[in-house]
Amino acid sequence: MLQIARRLTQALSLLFVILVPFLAYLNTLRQAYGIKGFHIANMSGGPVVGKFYAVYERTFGLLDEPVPLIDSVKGSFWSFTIFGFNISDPLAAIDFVLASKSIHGPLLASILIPVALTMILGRAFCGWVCPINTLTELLDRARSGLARILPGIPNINLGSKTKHWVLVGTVIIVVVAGIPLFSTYLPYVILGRELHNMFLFQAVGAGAYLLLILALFEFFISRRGWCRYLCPSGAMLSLIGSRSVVHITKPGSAKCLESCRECDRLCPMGLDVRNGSPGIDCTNCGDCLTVCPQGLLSYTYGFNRKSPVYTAAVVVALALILSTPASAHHMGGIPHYGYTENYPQVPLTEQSADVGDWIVSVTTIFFQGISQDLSSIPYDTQLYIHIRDRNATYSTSTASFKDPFNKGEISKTDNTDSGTSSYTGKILLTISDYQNNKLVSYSLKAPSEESIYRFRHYFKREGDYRVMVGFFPKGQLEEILFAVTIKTPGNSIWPIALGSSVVICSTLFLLYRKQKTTKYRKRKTKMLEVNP
Amino acid sequence: MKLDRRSFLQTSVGTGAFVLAGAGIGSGIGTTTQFVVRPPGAKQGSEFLRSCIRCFQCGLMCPNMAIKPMGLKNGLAAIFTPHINPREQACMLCMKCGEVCPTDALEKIHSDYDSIQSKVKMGQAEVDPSVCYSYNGRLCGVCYDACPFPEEALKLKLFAQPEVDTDKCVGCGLCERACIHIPEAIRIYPSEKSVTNS
Repeated sequence: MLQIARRLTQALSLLFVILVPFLAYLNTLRQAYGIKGFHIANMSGGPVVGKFYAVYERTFGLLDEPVPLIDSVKGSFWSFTIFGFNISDPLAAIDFVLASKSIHGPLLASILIPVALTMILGRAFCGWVCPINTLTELLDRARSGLARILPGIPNINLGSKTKHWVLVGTVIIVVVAGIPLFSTYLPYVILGRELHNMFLFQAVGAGAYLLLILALFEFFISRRGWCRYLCPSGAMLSLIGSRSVVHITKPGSAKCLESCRECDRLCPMGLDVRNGSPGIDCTNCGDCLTVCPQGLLSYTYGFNRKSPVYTAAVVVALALILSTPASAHHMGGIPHYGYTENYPQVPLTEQSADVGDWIVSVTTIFFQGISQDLSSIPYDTQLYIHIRDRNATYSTSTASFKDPFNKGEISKTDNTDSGTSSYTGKILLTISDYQNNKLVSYSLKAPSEESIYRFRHYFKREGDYRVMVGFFPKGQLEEILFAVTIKTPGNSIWPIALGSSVVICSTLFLLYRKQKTTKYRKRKTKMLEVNP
Repeated sequence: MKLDRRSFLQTSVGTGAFVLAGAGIGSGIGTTTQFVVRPPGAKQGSEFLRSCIRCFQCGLMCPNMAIKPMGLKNGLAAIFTPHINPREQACMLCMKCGEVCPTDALEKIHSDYDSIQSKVKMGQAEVDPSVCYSYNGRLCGVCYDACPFPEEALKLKLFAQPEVDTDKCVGCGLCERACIHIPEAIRIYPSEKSVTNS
């Protein structure tokens, strides 16, 4: 029964993390395309989004106003808003206070519920809610299967105190550098963020690879390594909940079976349950309660000596929470237009450089249409070249203009001839790869439109290219070289992920070796002590 | 926690190295290089970086999907902070993002004319007459149609030539988003308030 309740809570919290960004995405479609937006959603987001949108229409769409309802639940476990109430991770508040060196009342109020719950339930967030714990528990099952085949699989013990050092170290860095850092590496924050990226922008960032590295680390190097030894959030919660009201105990009179080690074997935190109380690292998951053949272990709802202070704190906290102002509030009638992704007007690169009195600018734009993934020519690129006079004059009454690329002031005159300040003569364009092999050269006698020269080129593959622009001010050839990088956004993370995982794995391997040698040395000293 | 001398030394050396590395990261990679448009009501420069906890609720709230998380292009200090690329998707001034911000890194601003005009300054639109259609003998005026404050922030002169009023423009970027010229002839320059590094 207990285990069913725990699994249900875990499943619900995982569902929460996944559903919030997904419904947020459907909500944007709903606001963009109105009530009968199925066909447009199908067109702009693809058949999968179309199907989901149909489901959304049949559930939330039947309500009068689904948008404000879904908007009232936003965020992930780092910080979320629910019907106007903000609930944040205690570490988020620490991060904010230390980095900004200021205090913000609503944020501090928003951590009161988690802190109060931790004081009552101990480190239960880890065992019952945290989606990373849920996922690593599943991973741990797979790992135990692997351990049956490969008994020698390493299981490094980094020490349960390490996570407190990680907490302290990060806090010091946050204070010194003045940047909030916990949110950049805590895996449950990353999971929430990557799910946002996945649903809202149909892309994943570097965080997905951090999660992959974490999974590999847990699977091959250290069993439940993150939660047991490294997680600073776990360290924080175990400190807050060190005198929690609910904890697991074994009556002093109870006698365990001689050879039974079931609770120690099963404990996800690797704690010493058999010898009485498991200590502050216990997540109150209750696995040991279910597994104990004699039923000796049980939850104790007790107050310790210091508990009146804690009870008072909890009461004050709850009182403060009730006074937090609700700020739920909604707007309607929002215009929306355009494609949802990869609209071909967004430039890939923009560069400019000076040649004498002229400013040459090169803009590259992918021109495949709506979706680059669906395009048969994935690197169909247009290059726009514009050459303007540095001392340009325009017919306008605005006091002064800034140059869009160099931000240099351009003086105002009363010249009424517009458009004459740009170069409009012959232009040469040579594209070569980075080994300087010439690929193609183009020339244009006059601008394609106004003063813009437009070239279209199918790059065969991603990479760095050299673009040489030649033009003839005063009849003489002037040339200038640009380096243009053609790449699909968000594809270059693999080398970084691979490199960082190699570094992390080798560091951990060294740690493992060091631990082994330390053990060996200790044994040797003992042996020497016994027989000198 | 029992500490013998050896492990105490090891721990202190390790912590010291950790802190030094962190300070190096903070001061070195942390320096930002690019100008970005922040969501409406954002705090100034580095104050914003310090007070944003990177929860990305603003991006989830944005009905237009204009708010995007930033990558590493502005250093580790600005990673995962919300920003807007107006050419991709511009701000519609609905002010929902400020409502969910737990730290007031984005100020809570009412979505009405007076509060937006007085409090929002994401940037400043500027026309580039050397590429703008209307300044080069054709009639366009698309930016004027997109502007939420027509005849105030953006005015059309003779031959539909756009002109920006620097006081009234809030920098929402709808004009840049709408510009039919490639590359765009009207752009948002982030205001001093939104510059990442002050």
